Amino acid sequence: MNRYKTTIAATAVLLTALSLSAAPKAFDFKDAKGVNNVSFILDAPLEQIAGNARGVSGIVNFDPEAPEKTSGTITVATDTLTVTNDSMQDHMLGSGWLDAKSFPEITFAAKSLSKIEKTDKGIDAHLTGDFTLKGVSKELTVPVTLTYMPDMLGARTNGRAEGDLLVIRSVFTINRSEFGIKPGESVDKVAEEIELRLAIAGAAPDA
Amino acid sequence: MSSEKHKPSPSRGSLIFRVVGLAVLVATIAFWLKTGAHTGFSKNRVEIPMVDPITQIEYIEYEDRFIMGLEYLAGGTSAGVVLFGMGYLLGRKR
Repeated sequence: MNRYKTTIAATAVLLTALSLSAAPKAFDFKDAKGVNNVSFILDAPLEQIAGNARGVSGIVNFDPEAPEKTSGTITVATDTLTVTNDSMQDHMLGSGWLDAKSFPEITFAAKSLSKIEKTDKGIDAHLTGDFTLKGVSKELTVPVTLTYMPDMLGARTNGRAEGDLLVIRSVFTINRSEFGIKPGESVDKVAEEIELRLAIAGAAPDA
Repeated sequence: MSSEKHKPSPSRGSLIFRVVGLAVLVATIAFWLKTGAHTGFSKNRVEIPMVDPITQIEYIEYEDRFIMGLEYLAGGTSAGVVLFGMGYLLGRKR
């Protein structure tokens, strides 16, 4: 009878361990170090505008054994978009352009991952999701590189927390007119195409 | 020779305009060169590229510093030229 109980207990522990290892980890992208950023470049004939946003947050569920199941949402606080000129920044965040007060968040909600290829740097794939800017949502498919860094959280936090890191990089272009940002206006100074460069790291501390 | 002797010297006002105009012109160009001869619009903060040593993520730190751009260069040099020209014209009227 005792042997029976031991076998059942061992099986239960094994199954629990297996299910835990197979479960996707939740990576938190709110970065205390302030490294996570999205940079943007608008290259118009008369003016190039380049800037950066640091207010990144969100949770991404990722399983290195099943990357196709990746899901989650990344959010950028609109009022953290920064350019090098104060006056330009006021215009950019003002009601005429991004209207940061009415639309405080820019989001990308991941729906599926396809064309997954394992490379030296990690995983290259195409991520499909809903991109929302200034209250307008569009489904986009963008190239991403996912770099899973197991047990590297300790190195980043000087040992204050242990766990894994997930780095997501992506470069893609959107058209501002599709998101209702002054369609067709001032295209000589504010380019229609906006190149976005995302480089963010999320942490999944050990339970 | 004699015409040079009788050439009227510029009035004090004319001279002041010319000196101020020249000073504005030189100071504008000097300040533009000193802040990096930036050929775009002025900046209130400067981007400093950084790299996170663990994740290798490239990010930008900003340093509050004024970089003079072309709009101030154009304004300053125009003002200098206009002031100098006014001094020249005042001198001629005499």
